[in-house]
Amino acid sequence: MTRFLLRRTGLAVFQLFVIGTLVFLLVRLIPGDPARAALGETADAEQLAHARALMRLNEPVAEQYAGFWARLLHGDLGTSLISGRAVLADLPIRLGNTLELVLLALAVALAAGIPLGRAAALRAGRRTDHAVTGGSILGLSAPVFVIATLLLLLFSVYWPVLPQQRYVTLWDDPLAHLRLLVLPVLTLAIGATAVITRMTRAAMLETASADFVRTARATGIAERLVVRRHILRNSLVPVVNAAGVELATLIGGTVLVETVFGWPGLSSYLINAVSTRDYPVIQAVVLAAAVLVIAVNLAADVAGRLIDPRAEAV
Amino acid sequence: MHPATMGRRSFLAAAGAAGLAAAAGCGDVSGVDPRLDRVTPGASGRPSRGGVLRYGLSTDPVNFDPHVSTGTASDAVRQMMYNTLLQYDADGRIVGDLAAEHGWTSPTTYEVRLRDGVRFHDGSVLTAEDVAFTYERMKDPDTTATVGPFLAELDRVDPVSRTTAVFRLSEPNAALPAILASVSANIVSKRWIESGVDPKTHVMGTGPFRFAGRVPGVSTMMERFDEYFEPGLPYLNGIQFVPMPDDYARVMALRSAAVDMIDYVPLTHVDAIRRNPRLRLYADATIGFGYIAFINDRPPFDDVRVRKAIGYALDRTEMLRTAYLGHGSPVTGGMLPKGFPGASTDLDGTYGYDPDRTRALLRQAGVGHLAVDMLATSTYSVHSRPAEAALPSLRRAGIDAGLTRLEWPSYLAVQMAHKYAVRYGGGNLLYGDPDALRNFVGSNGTYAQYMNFSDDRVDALLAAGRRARDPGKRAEIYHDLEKRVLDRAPWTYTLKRDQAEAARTNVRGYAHPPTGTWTSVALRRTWLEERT
Amino acid sequence: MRAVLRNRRILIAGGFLILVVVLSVGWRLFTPYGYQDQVAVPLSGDGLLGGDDFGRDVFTRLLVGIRTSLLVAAGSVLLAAVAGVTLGMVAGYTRRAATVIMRAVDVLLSFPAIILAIAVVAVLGPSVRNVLLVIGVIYIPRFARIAYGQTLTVTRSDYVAAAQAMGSGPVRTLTRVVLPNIGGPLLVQAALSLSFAIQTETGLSFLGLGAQPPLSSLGTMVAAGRDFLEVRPSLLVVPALVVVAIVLAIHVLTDGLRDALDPRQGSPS
Repeated sequence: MTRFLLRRTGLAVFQLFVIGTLVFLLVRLIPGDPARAALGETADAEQLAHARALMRLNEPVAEQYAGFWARLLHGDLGTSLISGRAVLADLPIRLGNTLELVLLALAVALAAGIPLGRAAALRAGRRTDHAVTGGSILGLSAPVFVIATLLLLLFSVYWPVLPQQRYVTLWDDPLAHLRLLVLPVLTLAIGATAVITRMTRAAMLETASADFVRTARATGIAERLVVRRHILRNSLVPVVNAAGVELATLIGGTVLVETVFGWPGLSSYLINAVSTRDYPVIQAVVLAAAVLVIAVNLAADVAGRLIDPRAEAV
Repeated sequence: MHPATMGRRSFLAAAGAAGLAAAAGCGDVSGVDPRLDRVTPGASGRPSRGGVLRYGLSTDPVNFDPHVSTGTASDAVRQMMYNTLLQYDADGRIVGDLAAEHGWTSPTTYEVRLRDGVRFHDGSVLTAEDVAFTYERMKDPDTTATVGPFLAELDRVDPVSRTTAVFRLSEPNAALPAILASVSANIVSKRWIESGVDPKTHVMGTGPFRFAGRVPGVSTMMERFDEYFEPGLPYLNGIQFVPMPDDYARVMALRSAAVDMIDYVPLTHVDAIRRNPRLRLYADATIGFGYIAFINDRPPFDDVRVRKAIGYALDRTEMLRTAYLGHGSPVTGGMLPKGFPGASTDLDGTYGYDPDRTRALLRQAGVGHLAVDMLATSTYSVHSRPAEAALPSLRRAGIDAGLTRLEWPSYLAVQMAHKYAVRYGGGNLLYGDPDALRNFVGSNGTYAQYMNFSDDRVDALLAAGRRARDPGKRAEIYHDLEKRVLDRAPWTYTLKRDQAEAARTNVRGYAHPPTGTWTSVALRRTWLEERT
Repeated sequence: MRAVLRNRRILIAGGFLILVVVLSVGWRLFTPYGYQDQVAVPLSGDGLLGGDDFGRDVFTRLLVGIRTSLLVAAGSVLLAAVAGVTLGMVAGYTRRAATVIMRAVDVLLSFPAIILAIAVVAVLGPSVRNVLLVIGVIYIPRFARIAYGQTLTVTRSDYVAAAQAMGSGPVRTLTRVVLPNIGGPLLVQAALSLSFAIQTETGLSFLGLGAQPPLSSLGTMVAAGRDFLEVRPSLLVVPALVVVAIVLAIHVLTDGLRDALDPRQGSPS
């Protein structure tokens, strides 16, 4: 296990280094510069030159690159060229807001999807199964922004039980915050539930026909126990697999949810930064997303090995 | 079919993230103490006191630099916490803000006497030293102050006594009072700035509200400053500015009373808001204007006949209907807003829709087939929509017109690189005087440089306008200036749009900017009646 | 092959998709208007689906929008498939390069696609061509992985040994022997990627990063329709439902393909 951890951590560091370098180069390829974005259209050439100097955009690239990593290793994520605020002041909060949506959606998806998939698998071929499968394929097919917009239309316009409110944090007004969460989490959860449902169903069906299950049945163990002890547990691995992949998909999905519902998360932070060419923020956000995904994968692999050491690893 | 190990659920990630999510709430100030929300009605006819106004802004203010304007949204925020020397009253006349007295003492000296006992939020007293320091800072190129270039005629500001500052000009500039009243000429404390604080992220002014915190993307909060120099003001306990860049969300928030007031009412919702008895709309079409600009030395646009031909090819009425759903007005003559010296309606109709004339002019200029690839920005629909709406009438006049849309930063970069000979854009007068045209058509102006335009008569008229003091004379000069610009056609004006704020009916005391330039000082005198 | 044609789901879903493709690719045959022509009163009900806020015919723009989304999705999947399969087969065949390629590919695999797309589109500029490129590149790892895994299995088989014994070079072996045997899972992955590609393209267009006006995409139509929810909700609802229908058809098709090609996998339903 230790060797595995060391190897994977080393790999993770390497991956992060690659991504960091790619992002550094990427943002400097973006046309237009932050000085322009900060000063607007009325600024003349002289003012722009001054702003660029203040933003240290004229330093040689190699120096900027070295400085980027040096600051990063000291925990300095840089300062926004546009707002003047330290990225470290804002990034964790925005990241947290996004994670709030993602984790809640995943939790809902697992809480709803596993039982649904189980029910469908146990009654394979019958009406329940058809209903669940049909519903999940529909849930998979609706793009996130369609679900978001239609839910908004339904619950804010036609049947205003959840009218559009301004954002408040959990600390300020827990009840209002929870109400705010409903639509964005629901939006994300629909697709995720569909995936989990399908995966659970498929995995259970596959396991159910496996040899060791037939043996268990043959030895007279009660069906209920067979399901619980053998089928469900062995199906867990691919389901958990799917959950991990879903996490990355969900993080991507928040881009659209944050736009439609005005949720101050990581994606809106990124989109703002891109539209103003705020290099430090863009770099930090992409790196943060990469760290998140790599960390989740790593931790998940570890967890997976703990659950079932016999499971294959690549 | 089971995917190889790509990722599995991680309890660790969940725990860690839960901690982060918890952190998401900590250390922020987006909340408002509910006690501040209470409104106490005033004695009969007097404004109520108390309450916190929630204002949905179309953009999140990027920073709080007192001298750099990044848009009307952030201007409004700053005006609540800072003051300028002069301001506009409800009729659009220039009156004192921090200045108790102000006026010319010679053609090149302007004297300002400050009110007594004005305090900054930290308790220190405002003196003429602060005024001198402020203008020095604005003239400093490192500050990149928005009105910096317009202070070219200002040599220096002398604090001749504790409360008197004298502006010494190298040449007369009748527009100086308007510059002193401009939204980004905020007076700052010399001691505070010199202490090394970053004015981008910290705020300390003399305004009716003091900065109480900011969470980017969530809210900017300010609270009543009890020692504000205007007795009785402000009525509110505080203002909470909530960024809501999504048009639809902003309007919905107003309707559901999640916010009390919004800016930049999207044109597609103007009618619905007008019909709503709980809401009030504050609008006019004097502030912004659209234009099509040319690079004046690039063939075939180096021929004034070709430029004029395009001016005649635009069906501005149709553009208004399609692009702004009718909310605005076509600009077929001069663009100076009503009330400005030189503004007159006699120039209207100079560029009426006349495709025959277009064709005739092009023939005269020897241009057979004119193909135009117009640059526009995709980011702001108030610019991209009219640009697109211009295409049908251009095409009907025989011009092969197409549109290239770029995101705002790319648009700005490309514009500066002089890549497109024809460009659609929008402009704003930066201060309430026709001299603000110097940035557009004066040969030193930024816009004129984008257009490679320079005209001696225009420059002469601009200089004469600054020198003249008699209002009648100035009106004549600027009228001539508008005529000259229409005649030389370095660019052609298209439309003015309705710019509107909207508020719930319990918001009182607010008024739309009275002049053709943006100011939101009326917000300082706003109060809330009890929420219905 | 016969199994494919006999499956009812494949027939219905496939038929619907063929209809959609015909309507969208040949849109000029089905409407007298261009997608930029301002032919109706803005926001009116004239014409099949009415006019949009610029007075353009919504039905025409819908067809063109479908065409845009389908072209981008198909193009990007093709790009990803060709590049990914080549990479994967090479990696599976020549074991040495394998680890490096697969590790490099791993990074891209876990990264949220749309965030990557936003960053790249910022550099290249928003356009359908760039969205096609980005989505294509993002999906390369998926194809590479499958091709790699399948190639590994197949190369251990007797076919390949026999071919090599007969003097067949690497390219020949790969294309003649390996490729046909890994076709099944690849086809399924292609169909799956197609549905995700459509969702990603429409999502990016919704954000304003894909199709630029006046070109329409299903995503831009949904985004534009939001402003007029109270005046003409159909402007938003129609393109939204069309996206769902197309993606749904592709998923049903995928399921059917999976069943037909590999009866052990999947499930009866």
